[in-house]
Amino acid sequence: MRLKLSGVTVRYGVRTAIRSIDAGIEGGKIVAVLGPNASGKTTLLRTIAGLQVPAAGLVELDGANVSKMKPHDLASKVAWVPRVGEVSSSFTIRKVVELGRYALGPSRQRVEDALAKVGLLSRSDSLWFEASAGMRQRAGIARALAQRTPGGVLVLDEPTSALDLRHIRMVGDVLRQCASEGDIVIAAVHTMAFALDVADEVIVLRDGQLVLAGDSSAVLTPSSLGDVFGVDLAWATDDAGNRHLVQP
Amino acid sequence: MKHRIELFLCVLIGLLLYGLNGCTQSVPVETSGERIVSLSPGITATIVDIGQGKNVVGRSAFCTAVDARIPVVGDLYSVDYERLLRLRPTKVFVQKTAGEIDSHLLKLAEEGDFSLHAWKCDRVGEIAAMHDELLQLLSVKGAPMRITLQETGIPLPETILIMTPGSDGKAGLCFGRQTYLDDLLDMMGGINAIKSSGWISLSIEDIARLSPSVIVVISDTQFALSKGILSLDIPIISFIHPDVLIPSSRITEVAIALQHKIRAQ
Amino acid sequence: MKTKNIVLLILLALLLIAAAVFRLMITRDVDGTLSLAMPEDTFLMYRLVPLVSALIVGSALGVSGMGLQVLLRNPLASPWILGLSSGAGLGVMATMYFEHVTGNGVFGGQTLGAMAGALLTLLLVFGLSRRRGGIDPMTMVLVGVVVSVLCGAGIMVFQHLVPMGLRGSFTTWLMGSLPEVESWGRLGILGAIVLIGISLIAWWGPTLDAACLSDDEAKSVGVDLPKVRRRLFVTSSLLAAIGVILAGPIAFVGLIAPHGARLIMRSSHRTLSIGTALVGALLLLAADDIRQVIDLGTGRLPIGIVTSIIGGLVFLVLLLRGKGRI
Repeated sequence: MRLKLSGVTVRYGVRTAIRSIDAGIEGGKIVAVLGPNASGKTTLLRTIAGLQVPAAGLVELDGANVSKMKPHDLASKVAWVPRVGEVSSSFTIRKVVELGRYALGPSRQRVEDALAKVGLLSRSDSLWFEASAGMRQRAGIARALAQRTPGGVLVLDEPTSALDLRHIRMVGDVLRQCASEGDIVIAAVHTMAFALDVADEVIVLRDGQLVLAGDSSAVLTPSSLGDVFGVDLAWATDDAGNRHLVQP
Repeated sequence: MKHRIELFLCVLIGLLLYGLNGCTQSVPVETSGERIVSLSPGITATIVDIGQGKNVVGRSAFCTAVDARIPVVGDLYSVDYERLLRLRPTKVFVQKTAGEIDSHLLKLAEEGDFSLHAWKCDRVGEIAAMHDELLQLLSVKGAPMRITLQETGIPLPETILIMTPGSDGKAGLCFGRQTYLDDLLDMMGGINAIKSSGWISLSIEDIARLSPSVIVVISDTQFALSKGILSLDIPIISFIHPDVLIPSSRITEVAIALQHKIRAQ
Repeated sequence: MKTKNIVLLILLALLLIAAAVFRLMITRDVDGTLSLAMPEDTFLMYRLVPLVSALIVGSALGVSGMGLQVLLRNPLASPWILGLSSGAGLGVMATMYFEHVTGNGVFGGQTLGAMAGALLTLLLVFGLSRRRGGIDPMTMVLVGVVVSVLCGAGIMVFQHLVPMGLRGSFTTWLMGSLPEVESWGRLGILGAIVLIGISLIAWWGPTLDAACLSDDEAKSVGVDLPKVRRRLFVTSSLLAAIGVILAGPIAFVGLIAPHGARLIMRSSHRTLSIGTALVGALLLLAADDIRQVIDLGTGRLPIGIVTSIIGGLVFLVLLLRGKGRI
C-alpha cells in the first residue's frame, strides 16, 4: 500500500487550514504528525481518511483518489480514530466496536480480538455513556482495529490524549503490530515521548504548512522542534538510558 | 426507590380511573314516546321550553337545560356513534354551524335509524323557525314563537355595543350584525355600534373609536368587568341572564329583560 | 436477534392483543355501567375502526419518532419537530376557510388539506435544511421550529377569518381523534404503506446503528450519510404524515414510544424498530382503552389529552430511571 499526498490544500470558507502538502508514505510505517495547536493536524488526518474533500490537490491510495471512493470501499481500506468519539444512542462498548464491521460484515472474532488488544474485553458490556474518557478512546481504537484490513491505513487523531501510562504503552504496542502487518499508521500526537518511542517517520506542521518531514531521529531534535513550537527544548536521559525531549 | 415511584404512579392511576369512572353515572331515560338526542344546547333548551324535556335521552356536554345525568353523546363537532345508537333515538337534532353536518350521521339517518333535523340558530328568525318546527315534529300544541316588546316611549341610547366580559385589560367578544342579539336590539329600536357581521374581537382602542353611547356586557354568570372596558369613558350596563348566551326560544324572556335593563339605565 | 429480545417482542405483542381485545369488548351502557362483552354487529365497526386505526397510527408515529431521533441525533425529536402537525393544521384550516368562503366543498376535503399541508411543510423543511448536498441535523431542527411557528401564525390568521363555529371544529381536530368511521379500503392502503415504511426502517437497522456515531465516525465505517439521511427523512415523514391524516396531531406517541422501547430492550435499531412499532401501537390503544373507561360527564376525553397525560408520566419515569439521561 502507498499513500501519496500531492499539493493538498483544504479551506474552511476563507480560511486555509492546510496548504500544498506533499508527502508519500509506504506500508509498514508509523508516521507521527506533530505541530502546535491549530496547525492543521486534524484537518490533514481527516483529509487522508477521506472525511474532508481538499480544495486542491489529491490524496491517493495506490493510485486511487480517496475523495472519489465509495463509502464501503473507503471503509475497507481506511480506519479512522477520532480524538473524541460521539455516540447518540445507549450502546454498549461492544456494540460500538461492532459498528466498525458495518461495511465488512459481522465478525465476532475480530471484535473480541480488538477489545482484547485495548484491554476492554472484560468491560465490553458497559454502556458507552457511562464509560470514562479513557475507555471511550480505547473503544474508538478497538473499533478501528475491528474494521481495519491488514495492509490498509489506520488514521488516529491524538489516540492517547485521555490514556494513562499503561494504556499509552498498550496503544504503542498495538500500532507497532499493525505496522508489522503492513499497515500505514498515521497518528497526530502531542507528546514527543510517544513520537520518539513509536514513530518511524515524523511530519511537522505549522500554520497549515509542512515544515519538517523525515525519519523521526532526524526530525525530532531540540533545535528543529524548538523553532516550530517556539520553546526551548533539550535532551534528557533517564535511568534506563533512554533519551527524552524536555523543556529545561 | 426507582420501582417504588413506578408502583406509586400505577396505583395512583388505578385509583384515578376507578374514581373517575364512578364520578358520573348516567340515568337511562325511559319514554314511551319520542326518544330525542339533541347535540345543541339551544335546541335542547327549546325542547325543554315546549315541555318535551322528558323525552331527551341523549345530549351534548353543553346542554345544561336537562338533567346532567343524561348520557353525553357528542357535540357540534364530534359524535359517539355507538353511544348514540345504543340510546335508540327516534329523532336527532343538530345545530347547523359554518361547517357541514357530520356525514356519518346523515348516512345513519338515511338508513332509517332515526330522523335527523338541523337548524341554524344564529338569528332570531332562525330560532323562531326551529321552535315552530319542533312544535310540529314533536306534535306539541303551542303558539309560534313571538317576541313582544312593549313600547315605553323611553328612547334608547344612540348606539349600543353588546359584548361578553373580557379579562384583565382585554375586551370580550362583541356581537355584530346578523346575530340574534343584534336582532333583539333592532326589535327594541336600538342601533348596533358594530357594522360588520358575526362575533368579532375588538381591541379597547377599536371600541374607543367606535364610541358607542353605551356598552352592554352580557353573561350567564356573575362576572367582574375588565379593566380595559372600565378605562373607557363610556357608560356600562351589566346584564346577567342564564339564557342570554344560548340561542333558544328563551330569548323571548331575554329580550324583555334586556330591554328593561337598558331602558332602566 | 437475541432470545431475550424475541421474548420481549412476543410479550409486547401479547399485551397489544390484550389491549385490542379490551377495546373490542369494553362497553359503557346507557346507564353508565361498564361491562366486558363482544359488541353486537351494529356496533362492531365503531370498535374495529378505531382499533385498527390505533395500530396503524401508533406504530407509524412511534417508528417515525425513532427515525427522526436518529436522523437529528436528538432524543427529544418527534414527528412534530419538523412542523408537520402545524403544516397539516394549516392545510385543514385553509380548507375550512375556502369551503366557507366559496360555499362549496373542496375536493378531498380536510383529509387532502391535511396531507397537502403536511407534505408542503416537509418539502420546505427539507429544502431549507440542506447543506453542501446533505441534510444538516442541527439546521433541520431549527428550520422545523421556525416553520412550525410560521404555520401556527397562518393557522391563527385563518382562525381569525372564519366564523366561531369553524374555530370550534378546528380546536376539536387539534386534540386528535381516532376515526370511528372509515373505509376499509383506505385503512388497508394506509396500513400497507405504514407496514412498508416500518419494514424499510427495520431493514436499515444496522445503518441506523452506525449513524448514531458522529458524522466522521459514521462516514469512516462506511455509511453514506447524505443518502441515509434522505431516506430516513422521507420514510419518517411519510409515516408521520399518515398518522396526522388519519388521526390529527396526537401528542407524545412519537416521542415516547422509542424511549419506551429502549427502556424495555437495549438492542440494535433493527429489533428496536419492531419494538417501537409495538410500543407505539400499545400506547395509543391503551389511551383509547382508558378513554372508554373514563366519563367525566362530558363524553369521552379527546385521545390527545390521554396520550399527553400518559406520555408525561412515562417520560417522568424514564427520566427518574435514567437519572436525567434518556
